[in-house]
Amino acid sequence: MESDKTATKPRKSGRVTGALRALTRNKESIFGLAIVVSFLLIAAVVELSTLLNVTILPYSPTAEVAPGALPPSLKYLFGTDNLGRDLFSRIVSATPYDIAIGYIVVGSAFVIGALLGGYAGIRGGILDEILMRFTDVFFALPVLVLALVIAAVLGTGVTNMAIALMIVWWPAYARLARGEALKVAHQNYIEAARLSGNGHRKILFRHVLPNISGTMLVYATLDIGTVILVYSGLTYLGLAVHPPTPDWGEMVSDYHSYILSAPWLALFPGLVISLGVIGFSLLGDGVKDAQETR
Amino acid sequence: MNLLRFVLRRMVFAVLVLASVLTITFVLSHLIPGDVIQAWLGKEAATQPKLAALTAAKYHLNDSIPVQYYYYLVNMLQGNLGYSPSRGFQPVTSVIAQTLPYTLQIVFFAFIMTIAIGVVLGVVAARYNGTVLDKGIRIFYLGAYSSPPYFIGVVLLIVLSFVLNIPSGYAANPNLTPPTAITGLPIFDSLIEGNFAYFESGLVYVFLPALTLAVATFGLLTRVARSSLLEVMQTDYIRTARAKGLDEGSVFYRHALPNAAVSLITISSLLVTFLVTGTIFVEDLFGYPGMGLYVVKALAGTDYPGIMATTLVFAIIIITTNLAADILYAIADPQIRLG
Amino acid sequence: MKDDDGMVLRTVDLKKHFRASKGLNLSSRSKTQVVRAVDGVSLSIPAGKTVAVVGESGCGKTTLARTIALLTEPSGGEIYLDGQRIDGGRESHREVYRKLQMVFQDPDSSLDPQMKVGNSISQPLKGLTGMSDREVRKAAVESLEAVGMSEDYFDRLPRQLSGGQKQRVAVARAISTHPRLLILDEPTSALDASVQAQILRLLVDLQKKYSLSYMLITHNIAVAGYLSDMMAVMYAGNLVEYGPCSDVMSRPRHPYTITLINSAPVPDPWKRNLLSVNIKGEVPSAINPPSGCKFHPRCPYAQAVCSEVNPPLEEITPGRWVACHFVEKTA
Ligand SMILES: Nc1ncnc2c1ncn2[C@@H]1O[C@H](COP(=O)(O)OP(=O)(O)OP(=O)(O)O)[C@@H](O)[C@H]1O
Ligand code: SF4
Ligand SMILES: [Mg+2]
Repeated sequence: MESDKTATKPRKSGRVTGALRALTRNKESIFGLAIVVSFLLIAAVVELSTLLNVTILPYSPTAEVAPGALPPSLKYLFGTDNLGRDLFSRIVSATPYDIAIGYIVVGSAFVIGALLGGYAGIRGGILDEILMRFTDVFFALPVLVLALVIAAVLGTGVTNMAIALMIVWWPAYARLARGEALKVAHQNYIEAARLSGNGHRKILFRHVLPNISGTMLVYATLDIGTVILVYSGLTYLGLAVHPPTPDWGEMVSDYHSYILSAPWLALFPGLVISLGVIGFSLLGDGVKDAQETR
Repeated sequence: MNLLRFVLRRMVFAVLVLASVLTITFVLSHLIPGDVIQAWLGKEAATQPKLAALTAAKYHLNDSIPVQYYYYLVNMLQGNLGYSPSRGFQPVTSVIAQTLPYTLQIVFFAFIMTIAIGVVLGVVAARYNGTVLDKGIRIFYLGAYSSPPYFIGVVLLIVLSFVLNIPSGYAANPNLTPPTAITGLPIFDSLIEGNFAYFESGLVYVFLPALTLAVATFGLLTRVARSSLLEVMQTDYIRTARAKGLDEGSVFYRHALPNAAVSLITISSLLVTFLVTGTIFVEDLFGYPGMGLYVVKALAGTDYPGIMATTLVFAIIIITTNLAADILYAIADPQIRLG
Repeated sequence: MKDDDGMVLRTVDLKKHFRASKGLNLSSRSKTQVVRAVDGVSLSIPAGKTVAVVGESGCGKTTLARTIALLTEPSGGEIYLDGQRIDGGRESHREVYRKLQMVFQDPDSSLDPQMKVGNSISQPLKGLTGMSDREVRKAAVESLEAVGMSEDYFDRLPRQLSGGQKQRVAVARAISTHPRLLILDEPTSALDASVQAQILRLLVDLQKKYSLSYMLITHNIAVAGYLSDMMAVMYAGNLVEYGPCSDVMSRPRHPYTITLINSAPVPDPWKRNLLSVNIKGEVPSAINPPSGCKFHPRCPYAQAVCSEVNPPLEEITPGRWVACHFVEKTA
């Protein structure tokens, strides 16, 4: 056996811990990670408590507990709204939906994009051309405008908005997957797989998808914040939820007529959106750096 | 010659994209729940039997789909975009003609403010790279860029509300005589006409919406300006300039800045996309009577012709700016033409 | 080279042309250029023997290999494996790949970074034979041991291996189904000299053990000499000389081969890389190759006819094939 200097011992600590270590070297990404983890925790706890019928919020988000709009205090952390509902409880109870939409839209765009783009990348030819020209059209239009049109056709509601967002979101992932798949397709292990009698489909699942998912995940992390931002725009326009169901974007829209008399009402839900988006983009930046330096 | 070929190719592509957008809106108009006539007159089509008959004839709505598609394209190209139920069944084209100038005004001023804020902060951040100033700018643009435009508008309203108290629903003081249309954009027309009272009022009314959009957008520019400046500062070209004994300041402003400017063209189309999309929110928030406000009302009133038409106009604006940015970039950086 | 007696592989006037423009080009479709990477190659590989294919970078060696392995559709010509025509979907790829396997130049890209060594080696067994999982595992371990590695490596990932070990795994994968013909595309050029020698020795051993035939693509004269029975010299998509390896090396007849073998003698033959040989004149472009004999702009013997007529590959003495109008002058 040849002398073996370049080979390393099998490593117990996988790539995940390595990436985490690289991630926590940067203060900004720690901050982003902290925000994302807290949002996820809050979303999970709220959702769980609803399922188990346990009350964890100080007040019911729809109960009118105060005589009217009260400024923030120890009793009402973020104050109360024009109808006397506790703003803190309303904001917290909206967390699961807004976060879940981010993950659902990005998740489905990821899956559709990876399958279509990955296949087009290794298959090439006319199929690839059609997919690319198709995504070109999507790229020439802003997602919000497209989502609005689709929303107009589908009608309002959370599910319909999620569908509208999925429809406009996947082409970016198809483009990314196709580019990455093209890189992989030139690798000799793909040819070796063909020499093993494998067709396009097997090669896609066995070789291409595992090798492109890393890069795609980085992009997806950065992207969740964008979905939350655009979705909040749709709810701001009143297309997703209907009162009294609480939602961040909808709250800003609802409360903006009280800017002068009760400015905290529109400020707090808006700040929560910004904070969430910042969290995801800082985390995404960090993950990207960690992957590049590895 | 090469440039001409490139420009032609991009133009063909732009036309193809526009054709696809038209096809998409056509398909969607058939997916709208209910009768096709609703796609042209909205939910209350039944209340307008005369208009319904007229529309059905004009768009050949009782013919086969390919025939409908043909007349759809013909009508679109002639500017027949249907009637707007949310505006008392006015032709959509005339609603667009009323509202588009206001939206363009916002986009114009927001674009200038975005460039001003974005470039200045980007240059400062690069010049003082790594200092507290640089970090402060990063926090500012990250926060602004991560916030929805309507929320930025709310914050600005809270901060500036005592200075500017403007009635909602107008683009200038409604008691003033508006200028006659020359360019079509009232602010500029009033200036040309010498109607300074209207001009001043128009500027006051457009200020907050435009500033809001600019704050929501400038982060894109700052980020790119900063990083491309830092990149240029590392190149041999700049090292040579330094070696010639130029002081750091003039190396930066005379040599690095013009070089980094090219990379800004690449994101200008992204900027315009952001600004155009953002008008929907700021016009709604500030009650500025442009196309964004129209589309919001159209969405609330299931005014399908209004929604489809505004989408089309947004698409045209964005496709044209993309085309312009591509061409500008090809002129500024001849290498990409080969690609 | 007419009948297939004792020939494991035979190609007849094999061609592979690429279109040079990428994608749909809206304005310049009329100017699509053709790259003649392989431009009419007739080559036979005797069973149990090794044929070296040598030539400058870009002359079409890899494309020839990929075309023979049906990884890309030939633009013309015929391919026979064991006397059976295999191009044009005449025979199922699985049947072909049971007899023909390939080892690639770059060990880093020939193993999927996400796939365990054992799974890589098992791939042809799973895809090409009807073996049960247990039989596959047994055969894969046998293969791994045949290339001098132990079962311990079965669950490792490629990044835990050295370059030489990766190449051993690639060889193990290629021989796991006991094919008849192995195409080796510069199998050692990415490795250190000492590791290179070990892999070459391994290839000699395996050839005896499994009675394999090799098509060996290489830049390195010493590698060709060490391993090969026959040598084929390629120039700009064509074969220009073919014959017993020792004969071609000691008495080259085609002007191109002569320049290659005789120029710049390097003391250490293992370092004699054809790439480093400097022949004056430009390497011909595969897009617009010279007319007639493609070597004529660089050839010291060139005459007027050379720029007009492409000389065919002809048998000048038994077993020696040369494509040159004036081959008698080089005797
Ligand atoms: N897929 C392809 N599309 C277009 N041209 C190609 C393609 N593959 C190869 N070529 C071209 O065909 C010619 C021959 O390439 P090939 O890789 O076969 O050469 P080679 O002899 O293996 O070179 P090397 O020694 O560098 O590996 C080159 O000009 C190359 O650019
Ligand atoms: S045919 Fe002519 S040009 Fe070609 S190798 Fe022979 S002598 Fe040289
Ligand atoms: Mg090669």
